[in-house]
Amino acid sequence: MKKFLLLQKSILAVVAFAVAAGIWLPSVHLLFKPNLDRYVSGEGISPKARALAARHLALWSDPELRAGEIAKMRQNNAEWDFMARTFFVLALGNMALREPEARDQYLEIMDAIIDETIRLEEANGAHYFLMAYAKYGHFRSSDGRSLFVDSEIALMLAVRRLVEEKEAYKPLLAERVEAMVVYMQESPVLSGESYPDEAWMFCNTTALVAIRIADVLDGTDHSDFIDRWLEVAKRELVDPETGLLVSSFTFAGRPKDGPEGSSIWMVAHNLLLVDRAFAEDQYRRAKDALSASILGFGYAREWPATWAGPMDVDSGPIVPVLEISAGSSGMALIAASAFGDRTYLSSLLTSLNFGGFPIEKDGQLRYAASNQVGDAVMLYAMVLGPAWAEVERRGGGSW
Amino acid sequence: MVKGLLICAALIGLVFLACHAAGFRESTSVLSGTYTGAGSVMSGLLYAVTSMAFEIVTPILVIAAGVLFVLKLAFTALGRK
Repeated sequence: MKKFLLLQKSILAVVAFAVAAGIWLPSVHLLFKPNLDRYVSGEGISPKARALAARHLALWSDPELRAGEIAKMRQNNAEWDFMARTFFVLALGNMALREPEARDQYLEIMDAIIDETIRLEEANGAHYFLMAYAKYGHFRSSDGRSLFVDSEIALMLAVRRLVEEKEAYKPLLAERVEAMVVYMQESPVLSGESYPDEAWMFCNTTALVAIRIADVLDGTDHSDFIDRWLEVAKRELVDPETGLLVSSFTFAGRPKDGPEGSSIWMVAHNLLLVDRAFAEDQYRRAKDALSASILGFGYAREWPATWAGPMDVDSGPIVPVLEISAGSSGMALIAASAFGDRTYLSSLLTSLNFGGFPIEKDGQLRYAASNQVGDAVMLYAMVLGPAWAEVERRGGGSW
Repeated sequence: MVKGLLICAALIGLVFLACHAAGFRESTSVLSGTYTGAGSVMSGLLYAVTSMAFEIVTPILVIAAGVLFVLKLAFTALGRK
């Protein structure tokens, strides 16, 4: 009798847990599901973007606070310091186009970031913004410059000038664009190295965007170079399994890492100003290979199932089994926003609200689980659009 | 058993609230590889785990307690008949 009662209790417990899990697990995402209009907005600046921007504006207005945040990032990765600047400047450029009445305020901060970044590069060399291993090898290109640094500084200058012309930045952009085009053409795959004998698709497509914007601003024409780059990349730098552009490769064009989430989402977004049809193709393929959702929580893998890659500073921590990558999921926000994929964007933001541990205080928003570069990426994802549209408008259509 | 489930749920809630009150939420930056100071790895991970337990496990425990309570009532009623 005792055994029967115990069995009955156990069955009841299992049934109770099954019912409870069946009710709660499919519903829990609803607690974190965003009202998308509070995050992205067709016109103006959404409330969440404004709160996220307020945090960054406060950092750039308070040298002590900024120094503390930058020190935390540089302790782990000097690239993050640099990329936080780039994404924040890109975000501010879009915000200035969205909110012309606040343009002067945004331009002032953009200029402060750009000037300080160039000053630091001049004072310490490009290595200041690179990881330490950049010192342990030789660049194959003749002038040994890093496209990681050149492309992002060029893009910052270009977007700033897109918002409003600044004479002092004209030669700075032109010189950097010409330098990039020269050393990219030294490579058989027309691609510049970010690190010695290590080229990244992220940086090369960022360079192409900067070159495209410079052409629109200054009336130069690098369309032949861009067309040749596309032809070579489609032929030599595509992973045969997924059809996605590989993330890194040697100076000679030998792929190192396969398609990588933390890279391909930005690449697809960049390609919108280079080859729209190819950009859409890459986004569709990246979604097929890397995006996933569990119980309403969207995320992105760092590596497709067909490629075994490591967990590194780009991927961020990867949750085993599900292969959830913080780095890839963050960058996926940019692509989902750029391609108007509101369903995926909403599911990614649901995960961000769950695992990003947002802190809203005094009108400022930040994600505790993130850092300054992560938050800058999210801000950019929330406000992007107008700058690329402006380039297309002035360039007379899409490419 | 119903009482046990509710006590478990309450304990998870208390531990999470204690972590929250202690300001451990700030330390979750370890999840992005950014360290805020000595002990931040432990406090950050503890916050992440207790937070997710509070948001996922606690409601399941409470709902299961409710379901169990109803099932027991039903079985008791059937037994009387």
